[in-house]
Amino acid sequence: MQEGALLDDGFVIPLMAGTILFIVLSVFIIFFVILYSRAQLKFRLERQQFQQALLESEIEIRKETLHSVARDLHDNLGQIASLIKINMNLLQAEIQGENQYLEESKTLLSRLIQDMRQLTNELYAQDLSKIDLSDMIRKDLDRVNTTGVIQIAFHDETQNLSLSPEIALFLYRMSQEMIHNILKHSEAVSAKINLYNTGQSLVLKVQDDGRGFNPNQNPGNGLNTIRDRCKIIGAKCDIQSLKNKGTFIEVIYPLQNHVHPLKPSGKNSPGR
Amino acid sequence: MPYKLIYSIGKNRRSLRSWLTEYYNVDLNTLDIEALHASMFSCYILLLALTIIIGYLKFFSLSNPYKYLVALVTFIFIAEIIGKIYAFNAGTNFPIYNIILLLQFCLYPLIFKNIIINQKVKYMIIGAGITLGLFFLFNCKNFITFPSKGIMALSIYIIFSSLVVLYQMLQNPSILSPVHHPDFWFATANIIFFSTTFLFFGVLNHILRIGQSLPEWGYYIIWIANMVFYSLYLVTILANAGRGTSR
Repeated sequence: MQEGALLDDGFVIPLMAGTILFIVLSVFIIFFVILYSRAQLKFRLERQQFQQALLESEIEIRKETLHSVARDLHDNLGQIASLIKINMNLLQAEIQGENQYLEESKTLLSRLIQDMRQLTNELYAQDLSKIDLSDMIRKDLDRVNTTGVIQIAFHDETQNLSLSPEIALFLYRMSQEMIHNILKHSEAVSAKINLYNTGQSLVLKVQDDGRGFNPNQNPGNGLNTIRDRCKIIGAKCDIQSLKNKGTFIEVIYPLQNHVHPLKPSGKNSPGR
Repeated sequence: MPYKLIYSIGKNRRSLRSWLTEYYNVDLNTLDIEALHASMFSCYILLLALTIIIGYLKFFSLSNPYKYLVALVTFIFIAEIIGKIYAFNAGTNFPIYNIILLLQFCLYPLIFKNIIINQKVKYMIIGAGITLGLFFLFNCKNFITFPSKGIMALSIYIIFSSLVVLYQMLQNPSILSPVHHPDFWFATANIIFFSTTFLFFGVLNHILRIGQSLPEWGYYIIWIANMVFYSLYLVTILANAGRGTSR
């Protein structure tokens, strides 16, 4: 192999071509990374918009469902109950005398009509402005505890707390997800939920004595959903778990935030 | 120092050897070139071995395209060792490079088939790969010659397919940053390496046409390109293993 000079005439063009190629490749890669970052940002904004739209429809569906049930109760069941009462009055007139069982049935029917009227009013009136986080969690836990599979204690220290219905719904859905995970995956015997107000934040803590898991490996859709919802409302989420030592999840919502999850804010909000 | 090299090259058109001798007292006449080449080959083989070991350690957490990638690197590792032994006995390792080329024409379409989402584009790329491979197989007059034209054809094919992968990334961005995205590292490695080889073998043909022999630095450039290439493949495998799948 002959000793070639670095810049003999035969190699000027290849060297220049090589240099140009190197520059072109570098510029191409940098340009691609910039383009990809922009595409990613657009994707994240679209995802956030989609999640917000999904949550808006969830609230709307809930409201519509309650109104629909109230309408059915009033229109169908209420009317049937009233007709039954009328027939019973006619029956009493035909018998022409007092009948103990008939009187009792009329009393029960009156109570039924009254309770249905009250329920209908409550359902119509139960718009978003009346979501009480503690009540909703307590009702869910009452249903779970009556099954006898697990006992979940609830410690509520949120008296006089004013929370927007959207935030309350977010936190309620997160608590539902956590309870669902305890029932489905944890094999726990007992668990406790703490909901308290530190003045600056609202804290939701859920702890069980189940089999635990590795939080860093394949977190699962449920935990990802909790983290995503925390991001949307500006809450912090801490998930700790060890094998056979149970799981601890803490959601801290800063009360000064009052981030409306369904209204855009900040420079990364959709449409800006 | 680099600026002195560039200055002296520009002003006096000096050779690399004389520059090294003057500024660093390195006399390449006494430097054992054989030992240097042997060390370079050892580094290259070690890098391939490392890529394979990590690939098989993380094999079950890799997605399909990168399992094929690990298989490809394994075949290349085996072929390079056989090539070295063959060259030692027969004086040339060119037949082995023909086999490596055929393997690449078989495995790269499989890899791209599992990365590309669009069905039409996927089958186009697979078809092109198979066609080129068969064309090379039936038009190869002599397995003893170096398959420079086949390598150039493979380079064009891989560069085009890698650009398609990058375009697909732009059309379907994920939450991963490019640094953690295995498709990005895979496509970048291919574009850098195969552009270099395409240019190099084009240059080689030009050099041979003007009656000169390949300069020493040409081998170093190919070695550097190979080291960068397989290092980026290693990064690809680690990026894919780190998060399960690229999608």
